[in-house]
Amino acid sequence: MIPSQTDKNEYEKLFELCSKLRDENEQLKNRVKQLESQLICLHSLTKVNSKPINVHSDLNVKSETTSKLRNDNKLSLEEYLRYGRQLILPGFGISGQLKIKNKSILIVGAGGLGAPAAIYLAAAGVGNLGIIDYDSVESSNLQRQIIHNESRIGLSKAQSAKMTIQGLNPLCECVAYDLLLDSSNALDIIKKYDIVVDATDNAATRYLINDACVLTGKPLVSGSALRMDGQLAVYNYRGGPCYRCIFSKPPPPETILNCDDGGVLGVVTGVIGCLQALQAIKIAADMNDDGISQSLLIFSANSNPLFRSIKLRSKKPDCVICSNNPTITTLQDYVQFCGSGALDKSPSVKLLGDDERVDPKSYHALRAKGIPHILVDVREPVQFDICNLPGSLNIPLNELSKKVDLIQQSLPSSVAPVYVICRRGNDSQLAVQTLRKTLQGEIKDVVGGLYRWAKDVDHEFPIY
Amino acid sequence: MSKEFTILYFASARDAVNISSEIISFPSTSSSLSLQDLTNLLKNRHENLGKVLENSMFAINMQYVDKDDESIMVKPGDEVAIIPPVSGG
Ligand SMILES: [Zn+2]
Repeated sequence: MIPSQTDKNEYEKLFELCSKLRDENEQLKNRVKQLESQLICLHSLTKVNSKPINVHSDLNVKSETTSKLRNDNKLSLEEYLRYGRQLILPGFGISGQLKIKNKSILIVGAGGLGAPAAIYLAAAGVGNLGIIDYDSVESSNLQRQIIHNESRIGLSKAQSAKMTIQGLNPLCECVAYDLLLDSSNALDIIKKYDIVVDATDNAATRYLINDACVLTGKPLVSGSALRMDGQLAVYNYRGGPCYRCIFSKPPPPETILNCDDGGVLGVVTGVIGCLQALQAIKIAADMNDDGISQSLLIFSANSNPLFRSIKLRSKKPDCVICSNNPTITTLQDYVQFCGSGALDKSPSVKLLGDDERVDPKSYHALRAKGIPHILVDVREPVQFDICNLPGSLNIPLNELSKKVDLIQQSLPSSVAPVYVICRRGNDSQLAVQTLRKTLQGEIKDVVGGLYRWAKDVDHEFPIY
Repeated sequence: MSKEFTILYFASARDAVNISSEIISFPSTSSSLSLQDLTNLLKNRHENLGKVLENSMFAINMQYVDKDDESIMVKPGDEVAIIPPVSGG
């Protein structure tokens, strides 16, 4: 049905009003967040009333509380009550509780792994927790990063994690670092802590943390998760290997998926994050576990058995950093070493010239005019099922070279153009390059993929 | 004893080959394989696996093995795990 002119005017008016309200809502949200941040700062100030916070310290730490050197050899009445269930555990007991109370643990990353790790460590009564994250909370994080919540969207992850921890256990002193851990600050921060938990999401930071832990002599509780798989290991502890002893070469950047592109089930990060908390508590409390420093636990949510434990080697005699004759004695450029860094999560690539591409609005116009063509969607079928443009043909990128004939058969005429689309506009460019090897005629990709389609053309189209 | 061994694929290795395990017969006349031979054999079997293999850790019967150690052999009945690093979180 064709809408009448009055319908259209009405629609435009409503649309305008709607976006106005949305803007206003956004502004109010930001104001609330600002005030919340101020409130946290004030709260931290009153808590460590003796020393003021240096907001512009050289580390750029927005709210670092000066951690008191603790050496408490007894528990308060409140602590007996709070920790009673673990105080009566043989093998942990009051000595374990006192040990973890006097320990400091640094968690790098307040995401899917860091969230449950921080929650359990704080709840158990670890005396001092540091949490590092440079990112802010987004709604797509909440499916797994359960230390944050709806009201924290837009707020710094480190601050949000600290807020949750303070609400859960005020006896745990928490320092939030709103920063990106890198070679310039890693040693200064890590040396202040007894144990480091690697809960990051990229290879470069993993090598950085490993090297910093070796150089400062700190045990490293390493966890990782992607899709349905997870790994857990304790490195650089009791003569065991470091991360480089096991994985000496970083994976090439093009083979690495992150959770944004590869997907992850929240509970998979949860399982590994909880196990990281467990290992950190065992180390902090000096609990006996012979295998802790030389095993890699592999979790595969989709297989049977769910867990497999691999016995690791001891230190590699010629390891570049942890052996007796290391060739690496200072922190390196890890972004260069790995070919990608913490910040370029899903970098947008540009492989094609402008004449080989079409922007979403022009493509929309071409569709509206009914120009004969074929649209090939190169996402995985699981993503195609979420949403797709009517009439598009789904051929995943990795099957494309084998299925060119399918495109040829579907072409409305031998001279009709081929357009290629994907989620964000990276794979579609690779696809155009692949198709050019065997197909003649006009082949173009839709710039920015379905993400830009949703932004520029169809506001009702889902972004995931 | 059958002259076979089992390969277990984890994480991105499993994604690259689309199976989580397979049983492979030793090439005729031999009943053991060096890790270098194993790597070549797997690369020939699965075209997408090459890059992943280079950065993966190998374990035989749930025990880490050094890929550079030429004395290590895969024997009949062994279970070889291909374990690439997982980086995400
Ligand atoms: Zn090492």
